[in-house]
Amino acid sequence: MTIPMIKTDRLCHTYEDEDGKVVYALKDISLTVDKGEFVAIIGTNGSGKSTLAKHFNVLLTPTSGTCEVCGMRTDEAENIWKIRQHVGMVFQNPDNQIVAAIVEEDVAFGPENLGIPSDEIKSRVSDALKRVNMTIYAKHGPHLLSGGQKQRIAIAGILAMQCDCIVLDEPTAMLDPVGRKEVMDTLHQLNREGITVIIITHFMEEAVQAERVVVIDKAEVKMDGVPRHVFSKVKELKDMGLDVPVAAELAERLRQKGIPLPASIITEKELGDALCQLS
Amino acid sequence: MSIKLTNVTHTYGLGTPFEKTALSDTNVEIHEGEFIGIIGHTGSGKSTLVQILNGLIKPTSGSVTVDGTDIGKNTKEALAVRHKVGMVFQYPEYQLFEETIARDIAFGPRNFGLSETEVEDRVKEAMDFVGLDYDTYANRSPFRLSGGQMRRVAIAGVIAIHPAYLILDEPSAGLDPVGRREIFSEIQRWHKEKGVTVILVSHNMEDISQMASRLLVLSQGSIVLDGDPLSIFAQHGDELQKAGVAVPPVNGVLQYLKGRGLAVDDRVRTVEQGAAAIYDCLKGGTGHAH
Repeated sequence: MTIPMIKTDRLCHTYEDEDGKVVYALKDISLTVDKGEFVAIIGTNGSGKSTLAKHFNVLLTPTSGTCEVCGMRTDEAENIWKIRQHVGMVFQNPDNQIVAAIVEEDVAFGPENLGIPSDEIKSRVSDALKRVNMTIYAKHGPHLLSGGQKQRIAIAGILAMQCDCIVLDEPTAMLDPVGRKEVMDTLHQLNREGITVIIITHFMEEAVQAERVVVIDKAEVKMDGVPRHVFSKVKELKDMGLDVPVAAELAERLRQKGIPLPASIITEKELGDALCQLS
Repeated sequence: MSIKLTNVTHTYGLGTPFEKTALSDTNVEIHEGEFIGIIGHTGSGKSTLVQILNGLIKPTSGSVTVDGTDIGKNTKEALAVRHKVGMVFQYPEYQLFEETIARDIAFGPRNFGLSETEVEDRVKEAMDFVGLDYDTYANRSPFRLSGGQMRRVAIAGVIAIHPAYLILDEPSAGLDPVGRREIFSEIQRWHKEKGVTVILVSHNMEDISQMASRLLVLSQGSIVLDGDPLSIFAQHGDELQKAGVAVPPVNGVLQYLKGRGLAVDDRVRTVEQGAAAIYDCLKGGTGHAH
């Protein structure tokens, strides 16, 4: 049996509010992500999804229960740096995670801190930039790049550390549709190369593209399955305050009007196929 | 009453190797009471345009008038009319700075020289408007709030200066659907009740389509489309694509269905209307156009 990329067992994260009351940010999360998976985590603001993601590279540790990355427990101090060489994080705001004045130096920042010899760093940086399709920008100033390009630089920085898992917390929230597509295409490409991708997103069009969707609501995992299974539950998702892909919602509304459409419709093509058969 | 741009051009880094014209020879008039949506690809000139609208950037050439007064001049009148234009920046929660929520919201009105009683009234009104209870929240630190609540405080701070023109740059970025609806229903109410002109910059086509009465599409520093959002989404798909923006998701699906031969009306603003349009098409027996 292979060791999972990430495994949490009854993970809880609690904090005290202003009145000293214990609040659960995460409650009894038992989740396994295997190597090579492409997982989308969705949930409303305050549901706990960002808190969960921060456990994956030890920015937070559980207050009870456990979180393991590649079989290493995150609450054992000697594991922290090994874990962070497996799991890299990309945040929402691209401007908050760029540290250098030239793109290739920014990508080199991670491996430099790991004490990698400079020849090795050079080849890692050029390889990482190639994989996110940013080679021609190697000598540019990052401030002149678009949001989508900046996020790809952040991803390259993680690749240069030879991480095999990328966790992204709403990486496309600040991007326009073109930038969003650039980032998603890059992630799918890397996933095909074997990188495990865990993406938190508010965009259902992005969640539909994942292999697996995990829904977090009020600190707990409420659904976990393939997109077709999760997004056919239009009413449950709407009740949690989440959106569903437009095609799924149109199909649900038409079913309510008495049009016999299958519950499995989540893409425009499937909706088109079903409607064409009807008429 | 309007904001009027005449032959406005703005070039960054003029005379340097990095010279870049962000907005070229733009003419547009935004009338009182309109709800304007502005869309465009990153780098299309949106941010430059909105900063020119409220006088944060002076154009390199051309003139900007607010209610007939040229805001490019350093006069008392120019300063006074600039106060009529309020701007909510992207991620405004990062601009909160005061120790209490009430003091943060009071910062604008106080700087405009209002009396303390007037300032307090404005703060109460603005908090009520964004749905934060005054007695509960006034003396709390804004930094203990959730992201969505912090954004409301930031918007309240701009509302408290009673702008006649309210510019919002991506006010819903990073908010979940519920948070988005709350913020927008407040903005729509303010627009209707007070007759405030709203200028909304967004990548979210759905928001624009549901609210805007007029749409401006920017591309490479020019306004390439200007008109009714429904007509633009229905008839100018190619130009939109060239400008690097997409039609709202529901219109995209309806246009796809049209392409598959279903005679559905794609001029809709909401998913609900979209479902009704498909239903009508099926029931009308028009089904397949062929």
